[in-house]
Amino acid sequence: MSSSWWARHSSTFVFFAIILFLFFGPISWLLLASINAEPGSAWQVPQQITLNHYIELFQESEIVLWLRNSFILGIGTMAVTIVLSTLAAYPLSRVPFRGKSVLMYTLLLARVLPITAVIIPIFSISVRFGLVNRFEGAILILSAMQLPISLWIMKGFVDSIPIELEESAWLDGCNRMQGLIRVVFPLMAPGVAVTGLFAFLAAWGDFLIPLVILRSPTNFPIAMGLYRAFGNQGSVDFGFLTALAVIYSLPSIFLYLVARQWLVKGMTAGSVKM
Amino acid sequence: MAAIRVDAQAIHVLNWTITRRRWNELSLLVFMLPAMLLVLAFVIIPAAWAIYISFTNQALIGPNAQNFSFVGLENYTRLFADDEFWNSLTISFIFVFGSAFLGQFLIGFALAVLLKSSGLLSRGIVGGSVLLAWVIPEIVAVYIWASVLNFQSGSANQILLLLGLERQRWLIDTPLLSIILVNIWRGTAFTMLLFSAALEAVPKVLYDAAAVDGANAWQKFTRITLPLIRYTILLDFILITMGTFSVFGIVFAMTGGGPLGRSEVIGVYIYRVAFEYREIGFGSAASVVMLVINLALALVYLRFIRVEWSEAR
Repeated sequence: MSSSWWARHSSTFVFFAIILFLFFGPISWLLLASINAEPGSAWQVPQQITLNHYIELFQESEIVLWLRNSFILGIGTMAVTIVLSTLAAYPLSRVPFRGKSVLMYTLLLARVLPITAVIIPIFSISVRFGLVNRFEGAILILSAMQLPISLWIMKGFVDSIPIELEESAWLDGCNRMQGLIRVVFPLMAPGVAVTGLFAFLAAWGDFLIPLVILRSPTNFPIAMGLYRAFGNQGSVDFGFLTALAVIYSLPSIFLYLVARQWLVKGMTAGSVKM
Repeated sequence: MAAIRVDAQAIHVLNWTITRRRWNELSLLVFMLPAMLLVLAFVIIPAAWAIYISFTNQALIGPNAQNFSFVGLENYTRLFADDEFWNSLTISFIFVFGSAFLGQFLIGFALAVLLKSSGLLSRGIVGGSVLLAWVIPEIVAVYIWASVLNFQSGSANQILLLLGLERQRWLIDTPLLSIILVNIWRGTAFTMLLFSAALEAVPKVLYDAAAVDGANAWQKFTRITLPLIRYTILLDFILITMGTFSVFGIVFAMTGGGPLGRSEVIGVYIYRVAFEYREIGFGSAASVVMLVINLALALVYLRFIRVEWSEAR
């Protein structure tokens, strides 16, 4: 019994072992190097464990600045996306109007538009409106990139709120706006959380928009700081870079854990009714 | 009968109420404006703007930045005669085929199928590490792999040496293979998640019924699972094709498109022409080609989900 079970499952285990090796191996290098007193690009178990790389990281004023800039981008994008998509979701869901399906299709198209293909005009427009090297500019662009998917997700949330709840509020003397504020908005809270998380994550991890828009080093988010630091082949400080990469990854990992039940919904918003 | 007789006055009041309510309702559309304006300004208008600039000789800086003129189809004739442009299209095609079709799809699909019937432990550890590669920021993924593929002492060469093989100059001799591998590593989780959700949705009763009829695992897979998730397969193909086609950061930060353009996907080509050679007009012509290819893919996508919507109803 036991041996035939192994025979049937051994190929699966070999496959899993290879996957684990290939996917977690590189990440384990990063983690180990960041606590190794003598880190290098080779995979090695630390002879001596140290937290000095992490401590030194925060004594470096540049890193604190990069962190701050990344949080400005993340929180700014999150705020703009949440406010605009919450406002728009209700009419998109409840009010029938001409051209609505065209609008929703256009948003789906906008969502799958490759940003690299429109990065030149985005830059030109940013120059024209004086948005280059300004966080406002980067936040507006990142929000605009995030809005199509956010609007689809938020519309889905409002769709799922029964209209009867609102109707009973109207019968109790609320007008449409009061019903919206007292009944619908509180029920949209999970949608707001998911949309906000996705927006923060997108802005936090983005590389292209900071590369093109936030050009001066004082405006670099961590993505740019890390890119510039390891691009400089002359000074490769493994302890510093690995610790920075770990710190930079932590908020992403944490927020994905929080949002994990919504991942597939976000990926397929508008595509399938799953 | 008399009870349902409604006089003209009442109908008038009713009509008026409905009109007023409808007007109230339409006034709610104002709330959509800020979101729509932002998408218009930074997504829709740029797409149209790219077409416009592609017919001009606009430059990033210098005299041609402000006072540019129309040059007709000149950018396009130059583009289609440019070997580097065709090279970037070919590289993009190989990149998409290798990393999305051969890599992400096959591995992600296999993982979803195998993890479904596995214990919590392998789900957590194997599935978790695949997800981890996906959730970390793009530049962190690039940094990790740049170190792993480092010629001097990277882990990849360390393993080759252990196996008694020659060290490889990964990013110099096989740059395209390297970025394909990194993109498989990064993107497999997407397909895995999509299929895991689709497989969860297949009713268990169907398998039980098939088992009663004496079907083996392979028959269950081909007769029940595959037909039921065929839409997910198509959806995944379209989404990862479009997603991989627009990958920029991984390639740009990893190899910069080099050496000698041997890993230059179209996005990196556009960036180089526009921001390094500072030819916005010419770069926009390449952007328009990229937009057209993506639009063709997106229309397949829209057509497909329209079918999906009508079937869901």
